[in-house]
Parts: sequence; C-alpha cells; structure tokens
Amino acid sequence: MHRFANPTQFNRLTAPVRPVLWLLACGLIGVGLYLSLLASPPDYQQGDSVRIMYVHVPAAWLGLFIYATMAGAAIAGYVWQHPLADLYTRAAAPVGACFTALCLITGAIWGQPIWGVWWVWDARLTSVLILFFLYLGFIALVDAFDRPQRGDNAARILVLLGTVNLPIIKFSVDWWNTLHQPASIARLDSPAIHASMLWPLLTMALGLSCLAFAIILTRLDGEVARRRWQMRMQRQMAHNRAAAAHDTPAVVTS
Amino acid sequence: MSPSSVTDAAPATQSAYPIAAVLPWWRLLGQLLRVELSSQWHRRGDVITVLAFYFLVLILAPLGLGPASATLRGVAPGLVWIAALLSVIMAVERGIRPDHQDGSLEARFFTGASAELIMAAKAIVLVLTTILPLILVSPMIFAVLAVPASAMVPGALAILLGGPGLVVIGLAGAALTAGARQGGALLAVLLFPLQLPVLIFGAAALQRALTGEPVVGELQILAALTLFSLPVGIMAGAAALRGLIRDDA
Repeated sequence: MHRFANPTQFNRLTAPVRPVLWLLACGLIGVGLYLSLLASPPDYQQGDSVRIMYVHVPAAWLGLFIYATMAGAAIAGYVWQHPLADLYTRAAAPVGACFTALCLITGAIWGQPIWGVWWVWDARLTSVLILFFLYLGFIALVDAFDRPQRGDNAARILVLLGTVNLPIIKFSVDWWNTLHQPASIARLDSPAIHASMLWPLLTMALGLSCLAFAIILTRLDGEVARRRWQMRMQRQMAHNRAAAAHDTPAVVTS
Repeated sequence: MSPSSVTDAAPATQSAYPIAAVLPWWRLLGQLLRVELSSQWHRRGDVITVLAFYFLVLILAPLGLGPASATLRGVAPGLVWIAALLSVIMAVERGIRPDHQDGSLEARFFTGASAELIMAAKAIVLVLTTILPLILVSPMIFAVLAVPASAMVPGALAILLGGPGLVVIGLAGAALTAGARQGGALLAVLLFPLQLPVLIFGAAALQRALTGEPVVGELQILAALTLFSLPVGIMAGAAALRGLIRDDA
C-alpha cells in the first residue's frame, strides 16, 4: 500500500485508469439505461415506475459503499499517516453525498405513486437521511479549520464515528419491519428478482460505480495538484521572506 | 555502578513531568475532577444559561402550539428530548472550547494524564452539571406539559440513562470542533446524526409511559446506547484532544 503513498507514483498509476473509467461509465450507463428503460419488462404491480429502481438501488449502494471506503481511508490515514488517505476522503465525500441525495430523491419520486406519500419516517429512509447528514457534517468539518491538516485530523475521527450508521442502514429493513421492502439482491439464497430485471440493474450499478470512481479519481488528481500548489506557494513565500530579511539587515536593527 | 543498576533506576513512566510517576490514575482522575468542578463553578453562569435555554425551548411549545393539555401531552415526549439534545449541544461546546482557548486544556496534559482520562473527567462533570439539573427540573417540566404524574419516574429514568450517552458523544464532537473557525452550528450538524438514536428511544420511552405501557425495553436500549457511547465517545474525543494539542504545538 505504501507504494501508492507517493502522489507522483499514484498519479502515474491512475492517469491511464481515469479515461478508461470515464469511457466505461458512459458505455455501461448508456447500455444500462437502454436495458432498464426500454428492454426490461414493467413490474406486474408497479408498472413502469419500477424503472426508477435501476437508479435508486445503485445510488443507495454507492452512497453506502463510498462511505465505507472513506472509513477505510480514515483508518489508513490515522494508523499509517498515509498522505493520500485524507485527500481521498476529501475527494469522495461530495460524490457520496450526491449519490445519497440521488437515492433519497429517486426514492421519494417512486414512493409518491406506489406508497402514496413522498416521505415516511421509516427506519431505512431515516437512516439513509442520517447518512446524508453525516456526509454534510464531514464536508462542513473538513474545511472549518485554518490549516487543512487540522481539518483532516478531525474529519477522520468523524468518519469513523459515523460508521456506526452503516450496519444500521443495512439491517434496518430486517430489525424494524417497516414500510421499505427488505433486500432482494444480496441474499444468501438466490436473488428474489427476475433475471430480466437483474441484468439491467447490475449493468446500471456497474456503470454508476465506474462514474463515481471516475469522478473521485479526477477530484483526487485535482486535490493532489491543489496541495502541491499550496506547498509551492508556501515555499515561495518563505523564500521571499528570507530574501527580504537578508536584503534589509543590520541597518534597521542597529 | 553497574549498568544493570542504571536501568533499574530508570523511571517506570516515560513522562517529562515527575508527577506522572507519582500519581496513580485514580488519583489523577480525582485531581482532574476537582479541576473540572472548580472550572464549572467559575463558569456557573453557563450552567444556568443552559438550564434556562432548556426551559425556554419547552415553554415555546404551549405558546406556539396552544395550551390544550391533549396537544401538549402528545408532543411532550419528543419535545422534552429535543430540548435536552439542544441543551447538551450548548453545554458540551462550553466544556472544551474555553479550556482550549485559555490554555488550561493543554495544562491538564502536563499532569501526565492521558487524553482519555481528561475526557472521562470532563464527561463525568458535565453529566453532573447538565443531565442532573435536567432531571431535577423534570417534574416541573412534565407538569407544564400536562404529563401525568405516573409518567414522571420513567421519564426521568430515561433522561438519567440516555443523557450520559448524549454528553459523551457531544463532548467528542466538541473536541473535534474546538479548533474550528465556527462553533455552534457546525457542532449541531455533526452531532444531530450521531445523537439521533438516543432521541428516538428516549422519546419512545416517554411515549409509552404516557399510555401506561411498560418502558423496560426502551430503558434497556437507552442504557445500551449509553454504554456503547461511553468508550467510543471517550476514545474518539481523546483522539481529537490529542490532535488539538499537537496542532497547537
């Protein structure tokens, strides 16, 4: 893992991956949208409104998964002082927040015709809303300090505190038997969803994952460049100060 | 002098301050508690402000929702806990930020106490100065909100069991934001998601008490949440404290 600790090496490694991810994202989302909107059958109960599931479910998975990767990065940052870990959490947080928001919004649009309400205070919905606020809290905290390093230190601890919420979201549909339906894909026995719907869903999930990590890696590249620029500016300022101090010596003081 | 006697004479604790080698942790904790209590005493206005805030939030309900007893009784469980949550957020912010700004937080580290011990002392004292007053005034609060007397004991027990959890998690958040540019609003954004479970089960306990159902289950969950929050909050808060001190150095 420490092989990637050097930002230059990391950049050399990810620079060819980024365009591939963007292309994969475009292709898979294109195919996935065709499959889910046109080629897959409407649900026998929900009709065409089932199609929003092909965006809603991947968005929910990604909202959770990106938070989990941020928690992993926070541990790496805390334990090994890995220099890229904090940059990763900074790059990933807004992306995770967007997918969580997308999940909540598509859920509300789906809930209106099917449940008859935009929003219910169901355990799953509430815990995903909390996840969204955890992302917002992270984004607020990480930039609330004068020195970025302090923000990183504080935000790591917040990310780790928030991981308590992840199992609550996952198991909320099992622990509290409320309105939101239980998992139908990730089950020990076979998925409770027909293959004609499973394939579009998996294609969309893969495509949106590629999109998420294409955005994150591009943002990470930007964060690295920004950090590097800040360091250079600091060095330049220190150099200027030293030069100024050198140019106006003893005359002033003595 | 043989080399072995030199190593034997080396102090057991690696601290620059000799007091750490002298005091065992429980005496250190006692000292820290005394320091925290006296600093709370010097800022006793804050304790009263927090209590007044709690009262005022609750008094807004009859004024805003109308004085009908049935309405008040309906919203009382959630309202009591929302007010408690807001009061705790106000209280924890005053638990760390002033100490950080006047340097007395850093001074506590000079005693050789670990960050965990400092957090534990702060948590104990803040529970005494925040949660205990909330419990003491709860008969009045319940009377104002038309809660029947039979629900008072379970309601107060719920605050007693859930409150320390709120304080400990709140302190961790306060330690995270103590060095930040802005305080209150940021702290609230961080803490609401983390403190929500206590709010939910605390309000549920009072709700069930109002209808005369047994509340043991809710009280057990509140106790479990607090027991879980104690180590997590103290360790996270201690990590934040160490970051705070290290960054200042």
